[in-house]
Amino acid sequence: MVIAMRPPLAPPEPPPRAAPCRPGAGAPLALAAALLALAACDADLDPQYRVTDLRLLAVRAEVEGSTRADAFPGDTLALEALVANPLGRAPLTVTWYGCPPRADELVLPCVDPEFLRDPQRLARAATADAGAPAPRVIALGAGEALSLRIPALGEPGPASVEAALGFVVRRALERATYRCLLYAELPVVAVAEAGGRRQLALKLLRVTPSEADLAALGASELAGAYLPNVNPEARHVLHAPLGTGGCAGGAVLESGPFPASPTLLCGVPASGSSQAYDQCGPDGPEPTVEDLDWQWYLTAGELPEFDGIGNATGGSVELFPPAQPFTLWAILRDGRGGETWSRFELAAP
Amino acid sequence: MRILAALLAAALAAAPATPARGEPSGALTRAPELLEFIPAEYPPEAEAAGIEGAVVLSIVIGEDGEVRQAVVVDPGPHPGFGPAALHAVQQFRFSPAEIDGVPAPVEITYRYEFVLRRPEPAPAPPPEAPVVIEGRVVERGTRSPVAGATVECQGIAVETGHDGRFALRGIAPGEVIVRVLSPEHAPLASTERIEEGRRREVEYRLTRRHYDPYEAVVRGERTSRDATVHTLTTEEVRTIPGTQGDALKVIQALPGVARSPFGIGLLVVRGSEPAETLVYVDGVPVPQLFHFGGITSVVNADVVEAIDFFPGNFGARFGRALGGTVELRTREPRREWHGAAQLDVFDGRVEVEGPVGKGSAYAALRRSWIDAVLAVALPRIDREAANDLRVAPRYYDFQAKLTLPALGGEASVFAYGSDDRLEYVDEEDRPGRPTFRLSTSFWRAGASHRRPLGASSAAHTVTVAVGRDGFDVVRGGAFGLLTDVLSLSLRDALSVRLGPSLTLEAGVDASARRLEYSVYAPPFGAPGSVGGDERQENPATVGERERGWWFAPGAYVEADWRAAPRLRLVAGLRADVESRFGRAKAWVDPRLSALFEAGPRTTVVAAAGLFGSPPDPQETSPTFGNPDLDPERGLHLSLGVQRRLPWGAQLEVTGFYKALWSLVVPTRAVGDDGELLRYSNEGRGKTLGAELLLRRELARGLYGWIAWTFSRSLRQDDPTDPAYPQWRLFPLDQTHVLALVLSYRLPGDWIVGTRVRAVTGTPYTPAEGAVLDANTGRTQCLAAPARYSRRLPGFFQADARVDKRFVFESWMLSVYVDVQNATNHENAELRFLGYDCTAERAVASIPVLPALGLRAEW
Repeated sequence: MVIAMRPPLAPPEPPPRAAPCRPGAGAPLALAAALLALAACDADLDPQYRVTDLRLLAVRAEVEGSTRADAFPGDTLALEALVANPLGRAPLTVTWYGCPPRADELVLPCVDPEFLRDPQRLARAATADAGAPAPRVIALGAGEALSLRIPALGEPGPASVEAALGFVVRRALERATYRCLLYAELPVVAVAEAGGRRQLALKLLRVTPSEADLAALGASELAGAYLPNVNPEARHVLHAPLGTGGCAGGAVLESGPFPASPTLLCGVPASGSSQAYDQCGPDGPEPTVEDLDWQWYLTAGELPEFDGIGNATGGSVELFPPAQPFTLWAILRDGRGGETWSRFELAAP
Repeated sequence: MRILAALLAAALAAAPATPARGEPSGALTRAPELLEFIPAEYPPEAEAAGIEGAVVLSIVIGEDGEVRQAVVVDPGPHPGFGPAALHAVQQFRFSPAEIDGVPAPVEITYRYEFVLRRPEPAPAPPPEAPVVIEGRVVERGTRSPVAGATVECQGIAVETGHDGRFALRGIAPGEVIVRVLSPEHAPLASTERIEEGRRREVEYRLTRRHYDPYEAVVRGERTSRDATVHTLTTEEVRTIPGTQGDALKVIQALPGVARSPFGIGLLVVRGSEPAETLVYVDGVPVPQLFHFGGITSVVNADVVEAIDFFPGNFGARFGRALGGTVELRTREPRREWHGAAQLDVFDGRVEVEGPVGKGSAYAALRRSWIDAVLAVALPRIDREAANDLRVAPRYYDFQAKLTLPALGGEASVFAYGSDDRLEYVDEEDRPGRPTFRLSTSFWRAGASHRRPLGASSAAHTVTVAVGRDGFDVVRGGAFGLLTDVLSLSLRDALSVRLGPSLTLEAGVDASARRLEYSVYAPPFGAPGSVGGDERQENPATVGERERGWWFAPGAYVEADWRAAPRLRLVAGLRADVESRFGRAKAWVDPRLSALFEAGPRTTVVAAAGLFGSPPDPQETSPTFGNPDLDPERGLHLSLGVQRRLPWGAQLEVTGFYKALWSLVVPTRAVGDDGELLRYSNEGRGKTLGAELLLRRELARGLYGWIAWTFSRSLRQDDPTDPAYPQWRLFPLDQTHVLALVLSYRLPGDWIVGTRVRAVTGTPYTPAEGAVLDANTGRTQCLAAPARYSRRLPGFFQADARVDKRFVFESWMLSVYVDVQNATNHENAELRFLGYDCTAERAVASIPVLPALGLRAEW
């Protein structure tokens, strides 16, 4: 008997989005997969890395006074949206909504396609729920950056996460395999609008109990079971002429003049950016290390390894720069929801 | 010139026979043999005109061996042949066929050839005359002995024995001409020099008229008590285009079966999930059908005698499935030594068989060579990918069987298995963990015994098998599953004929498994939610390890009652228990079918029955599923007409309706502990459809069928789903499935064939909007509220195949070219969406794909 895990069957996923075409990145996992990858490589679709209009590229959460991406109860999170607006559409607004966890509703409006298809429903729900003791949607504010305070345990408020934390703590006490999931998710939606164009981003904030919280919840034994995530840090981006054997002798990329010839870009994380943490396996915690990855976006030029569709990713990418000035974004992600980014305004000399 | 009408062969076609009147049912355990042959009178006009030819007849042989009914199916090239053959055949006498060891009526197709023959053999000389020429007559290419051949010299004629040997006595010395005549072979004349007082030892090799798979072998047709069964012999399907001779893939061209995307090996039967159609090999269930999901089936077609495909309303001896059932019956080993080697685009295989003690045995081994090809080619194409591919895709399988008489019956010992492996490591991934690893393996070893009980009124068949299954899949740190299953399966059936019109069968269909698995994966989020851990590169995972027993005992009883001269009723009752890790569920399935002979060539079949199927193992996992799930249930209804037509054709039209309930579906409901239940039994389904099969048995070289299926299959999800109570299309629903399969035998051992398919596109859910998943940086498309509301464009594909067989003295070489999508028609299999989910591009199915195969037999 074959046992195979399968994801939920319903509701149906929309058709898949294609994988990148970078050699080796589209792994020949099976004959069919190879066929699919080949088929996708010649896609006449706009490459995902090229930003030609309003785009939301990333949302970062970081605890004020810390580099943590995961919050403790009582922390204040700084939320920042990376909005690309190459056409300069105006006026640009970014509106934020949050959906507190609820025991009676697993699919919160902020993660529900029914609401995300029409963000006005989020706004209407937030308005309707304003002042309610247990709102489904909360309007968090507007702007590319925002502060969000997570209520401390025992602190009354509409966005209380105490019940959700109580649940994850109780579950982890009952079954050790859930100790790696010692956090509650707080979904936040950013809606960027400018000149008739709208973009959405969903960020699942993690709120995890501190040691003091665990003690208060009578679960001190869980201290250290979950390592709060810290945003990675980028050291710099190097660039070197293509075909010179890599970026070892490359220059640090800065906004300003940029070579007009094909160039190799290499992202270099700061040391210590990759956290060691535990995943829960069949035999208990298994130490693992974050696998950092870079995502690249630009307003003009070519990343020829990614002429198909899918994110342009990898520690190094080939860039065929355009003749005109362009913007480059390099986003470093830790695969657990933590990220940082750099922006460069570049132009041929 | 003297002219004789000669019975040449009883070439029995392999099409599903219309059930003969009054027969019991089950597997054919003994074919009828012709005991008394009555020669037909050669029509004088045909004789004068020198016309030869064959008449194909359908004969119903009674349980006493008498011919009960004979019908001319193909009258041959002269109008006088049909009546003459019919008159002769009606006087034949056969040894009774046996089904499940019990004499039973069967229906066979008989081929009666009219051949102009030269001198009639003179009466044999007195036995005291000395033997002058002795020897053996064998078939060229196969070296099989030719029994019943006439060896004639100087007017003296003898017939060869079962071993092909003969002895001619009383031949005068000198140069003589020996002629050898056999109905299925080209005549042979040989000049021999006979010396006085010396005995001459010779061997004559006859060339068979046709070496293609449709050899003239007396072979009874399996009669069935099932409402609908399509039987394919491997010989029939081996040359069907687009399948590389893979018998299981041919099932996908039968009515009731939807097309699988990219030609992978899914059996989507009458709107049911692929996992709801079970496959048995000689009564033992196997966990896997195809290598790597569809390259080729895990059982070498060369050891398969026939495949029975039940698209629904199958008998009580099968259960635990809501879709259909497929049973592969392996062939019996031959008593002569033979071997074969085959190479095709994917793999190579060898087989050997021959006598072993009182019995006979074969062994076959197949191994892919994709890894060898990649080892040479990939470094030249993509060195990075070559370095990353730690274990190139490779598979092998084996089959072995020993058959011998034992304990008053016939015993078989068998073993078969399969092993697939693939491992890939991306350099950018963390060391020590494969980016992707897939390992699928299983083996079965067992024995079966079949013997009649009492005075041929009962039969007992038992099959016991042990086995081991392994399924490992690892995808980096995000997902891993390792399973190991030891299994013991038992199938025991006792068939008793209680009277001339009633047969009762009772049996046990049980298995016990010792299951061990370990798994790690991100926890499933609530269905329908956007984002979530499972999409992260470095997700938080949870793990589970279980070890325990899994029992699945089942028992059934089935009565086959001739209620009236033209009405046959088959009533069955099946009970199943499913006990996993201490949780037991039980269900009972009553089933009934009625077969009414509305005319001499027409049968009306109606059937109704309940069917049950346990949840998939992963659905009852404590961490990833819901251990409290109940079995899924279904009601099958069908009504059909089967009619035999002239020219060896048969038409079947069947309407069916299937209601499904207690289906396992994802749910947003939570348990008392606040935990997501993940799955519930609240799903429902229904399928309404009709099937048409027009099939021509092999006659005058032409063989094939047209199959058309119309169906509409719907599903309803869990009440917690926002779309509830909306009914949506089943994801693999295909309104029209049309398949044309034709194969034509040409002189010179050429076979040409084509397969043409036209199918409605599968449904999909369009995207309506997109959101950036800011935790991963990937855009996630949002499904439109109307699920599966659009369809891909229709599918059309024409395949072609040419086979040629070269016959040498003691071996044969077969060559084939199989071209898939010969017209290079571009078919959309699925769609890719752009990053913002607005633009889309269809992904095409395979382009024109020729494949070459070689097979040597000796």
